[in-house]
Amino acid sequence: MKKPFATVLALASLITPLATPVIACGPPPEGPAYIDVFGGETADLNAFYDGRVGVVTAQSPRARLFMAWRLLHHLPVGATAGGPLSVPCCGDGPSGAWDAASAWAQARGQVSGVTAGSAPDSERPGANYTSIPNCFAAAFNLATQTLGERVKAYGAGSPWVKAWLDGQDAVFSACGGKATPMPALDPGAPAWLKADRAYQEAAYALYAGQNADAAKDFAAIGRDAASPWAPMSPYLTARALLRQAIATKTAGDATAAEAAIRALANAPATTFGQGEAPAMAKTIGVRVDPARALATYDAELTRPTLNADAATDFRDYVDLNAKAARPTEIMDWIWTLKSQAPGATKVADDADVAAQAAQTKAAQAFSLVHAKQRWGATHDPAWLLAAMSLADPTDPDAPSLAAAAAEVAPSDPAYLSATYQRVRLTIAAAPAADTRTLLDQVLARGDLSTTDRNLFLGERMQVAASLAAFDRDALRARLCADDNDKSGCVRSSYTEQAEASGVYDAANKTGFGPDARALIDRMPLATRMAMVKDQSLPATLRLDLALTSWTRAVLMQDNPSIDALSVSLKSMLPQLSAEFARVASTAPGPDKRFAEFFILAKSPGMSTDLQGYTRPDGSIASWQGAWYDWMILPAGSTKGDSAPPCLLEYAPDGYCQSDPPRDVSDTALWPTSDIVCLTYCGAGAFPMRRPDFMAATLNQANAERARVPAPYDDTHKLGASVWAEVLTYAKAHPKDARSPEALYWLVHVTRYGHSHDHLSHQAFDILHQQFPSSPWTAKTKYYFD
Amino acid sequence: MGLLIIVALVSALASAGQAAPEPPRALVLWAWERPEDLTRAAPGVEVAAVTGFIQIEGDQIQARGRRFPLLTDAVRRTAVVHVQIDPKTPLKWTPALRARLAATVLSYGRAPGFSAMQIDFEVPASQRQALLDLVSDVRAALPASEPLSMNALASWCETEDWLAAAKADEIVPMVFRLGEGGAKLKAKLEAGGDFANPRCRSAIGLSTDTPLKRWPGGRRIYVFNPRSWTTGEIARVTEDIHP
Repeated sequence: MKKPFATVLALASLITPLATPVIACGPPPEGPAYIDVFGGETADLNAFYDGRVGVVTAQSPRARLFMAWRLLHHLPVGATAGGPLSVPCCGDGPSGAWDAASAWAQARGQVSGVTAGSAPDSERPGANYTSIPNCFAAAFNLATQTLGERVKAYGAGSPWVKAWLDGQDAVFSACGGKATPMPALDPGAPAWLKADRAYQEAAYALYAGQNADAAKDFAAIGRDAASPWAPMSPYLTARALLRQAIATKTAGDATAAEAAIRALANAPATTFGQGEAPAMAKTIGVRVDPARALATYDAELTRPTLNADAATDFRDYVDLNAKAARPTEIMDWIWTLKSQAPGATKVADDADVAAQAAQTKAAQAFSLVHAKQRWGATHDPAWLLAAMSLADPTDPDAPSLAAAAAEVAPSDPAYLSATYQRVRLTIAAAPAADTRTLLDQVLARGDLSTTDRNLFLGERMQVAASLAAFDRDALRARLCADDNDKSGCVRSSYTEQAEASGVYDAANKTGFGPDARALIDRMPLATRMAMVKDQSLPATLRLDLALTSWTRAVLMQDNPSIDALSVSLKSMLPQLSAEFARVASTAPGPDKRFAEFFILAKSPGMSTDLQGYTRPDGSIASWQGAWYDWMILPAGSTKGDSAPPCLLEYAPDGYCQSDPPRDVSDTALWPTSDIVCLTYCGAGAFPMRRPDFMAATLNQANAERARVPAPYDDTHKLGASVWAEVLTYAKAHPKDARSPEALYWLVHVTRYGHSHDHLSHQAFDILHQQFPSSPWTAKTKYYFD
Repeated sequence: MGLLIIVALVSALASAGQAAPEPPRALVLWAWERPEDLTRAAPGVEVAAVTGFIQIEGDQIQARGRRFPLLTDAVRRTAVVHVQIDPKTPLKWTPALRARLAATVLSYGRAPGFSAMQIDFEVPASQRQALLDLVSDVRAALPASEPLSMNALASWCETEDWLAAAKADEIVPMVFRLGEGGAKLKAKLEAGGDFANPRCRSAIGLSTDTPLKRWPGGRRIYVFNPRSWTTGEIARVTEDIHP
């Protein structure tokens, strides 16, 4: 506990050289949902299945990238295959066996003298705390059905039915790996029971892992024409032999299983279980001849039409590729997109952060070289996209890649990806007007997904010719909102959904993109104040801009700006209307400063920047966020050290790693980060281009920062304490009704925020000594130094 | 005034305690639904691993055991049973379902090799009774020597009081994936505060992707990782928390 927990792990680092390694199939971090690498909402998912590939995002799950590959090569996907390919595959979802087993347990009670028991286990223990599905719902359902038929035919009190039940209980005891012996059958048992028992014994052997015995028993049943179970024999024999082959991994058993499966496949069409034969053949094929199986899967997955089993086929395909000497073209492309081209440096789990960063960078560079080689050899646009996604704008080949991208026709499925990446690589140097024209053409298209539109707006924002245009482009449509099961988004299948609240419009539909927030925080006060007045922006976002600008103006002691913003905030934040009115109507001096600081004391979540600010909502008592330990400089001082928030913090769950120490200034992070696509689009950096109108005010923004000190912390103190000034004022003005309230809030500040010099204790003492009968004193029972 | 001084003194002592918090009673690594190799964890570090996954659909149960291997040498292992309600199928909380759910949870929670059980069941306000019933039924069925833990949304421990009825031996407030009110709670904890509900003060759940600068001491600390644990992460968490 000596160190902040923030040092534990850097997640979703947006700076390329220090990026945390991306797990091959792992999801990106949570929200905000302006970009969804899982495909977005229903309409966008369906359009994708129908052929609209859009911008390929490298951090998409591999199955989605496989679909993208097909679409880039003019191979359809379709909803039938696309749906299952869009969710995690396969076999690790919950099975319905538990309820079927419970139903079986209840059904047992039909037999006289037998009480319904608990459901038998359907899974047997595997190695290393795993559970392996053993008995499936169909088995329990069949037993329940058969028991009902036997009771109906022979009576609930029949000893033969009881004997049947005893045999079936033994069968299901094997499911959970704790098989009890099969009871002996009376030689005088009727023929029906003998036939059933033969089937039970075969099933018992199967579930107990005695697969060879089970296969023999099922085969024998098939030879008994009188057995009602004979029609199931070919399927069950093949299944038992398949289990045996998987368990023993011997060539002989594999050959036997193959033969049985082939026999099932060649049996008459009405044969029980024949529909399972193709899947069983694939399963055994993977084990018998992986190279041949891989070639078969590759052929199937690149056929003109995908079958409904494509998701399971693709899972096996990935596994086979992982073990193959050379991956197939598709998996080569997917792994390369993810900076994991075959032969690339592996990021060592136990390496330190610096070493991991170096390994990650090396893997990216290696993958980029590979992608460029493949692009050069094939002239396949998919490889062009891979190379572009891995390239930084400073890469020597970036211009030629961008030039190649410019040759991709708008009708080509690679066009949107190529254009997005081309703009990323050229936006800094290309004439802004040309980039605007290109992006306006893209944004005029009617076939953009929400994610793609947000991405292109992020680029368009960087070449905005005016503040009004910037405001328009900064707004992004939200995707996959919480508690909206109707959105059809599949990302909850991959990752938990938890998003920041209080960052959208009142309808929770739009908000500023993280890239926009970063740029806004780097604007001078006058520009931010102009945005406050832009009625095209949602009121909640204008409130965010107004409060953060007001805080900045207060710390700069820019009285004209303070007054102008206070007038606006009177109506924008009714909960503090009187307080803002008082600020606006008070002449500069100690009284005005107290009026300003009084608002700061009442308002958690206030910040000079959108990052680090929490929007007030509801009653003042329910406002969220923490208080900074504000400091202020003497009038005219330009020794302030306030800096824009670390760029990485604009990402979802992002923060700036402090251990080991690293340079997190804009100078260090700007050239190597990507907060436009949050690295989802690829490992290549996206250094943002400031719009021209903003670049012209950069010096002004920096000058304003120089008038504001950073908040106090244990290792840093510059300027005078705002809270101390409140304390002094309140003590000196006992007749001011705000004084006891201010002291109450100071104690509150120290409980939920940061302070120093025993401020809480001081405020507590003054409150209780000078204002013993104040209701604010009654509410202040403790201090929190 | 005398009383006020005493109160203030007590508060000051508490503050002094906050400045040098008690060491944690245990560090527990959550092993979720992914392959996990925790053999590099230091001796004494515990493991709480998902052994069962249950989804309730109306009055039906879908269930399965752990699918991914877990390698661990931890002496104390807790079996975590995750329960969730299918949001597309409204819960039909019947006595029969209640009994079946408890039996299912017990089946997965009493897995071989585990000496304690934890229920991970996030419920909306309208379905809290289902959680309380489940915890009560499971606790009643377990021997007294087998502790029952339950995870809780942090807000349950801060702004709500219904957890008093939970029969669990330990409640683990999860200080990650925080929703409304999360910022205030986080600030409170980082400023040295504690959960409002005293029942939530014996354990705390943290996550590697939700930084917290400070948390209350003297309790069991569970740490969640949204990805498979790496050796480096285990070492860093262990170093930071010092069980």
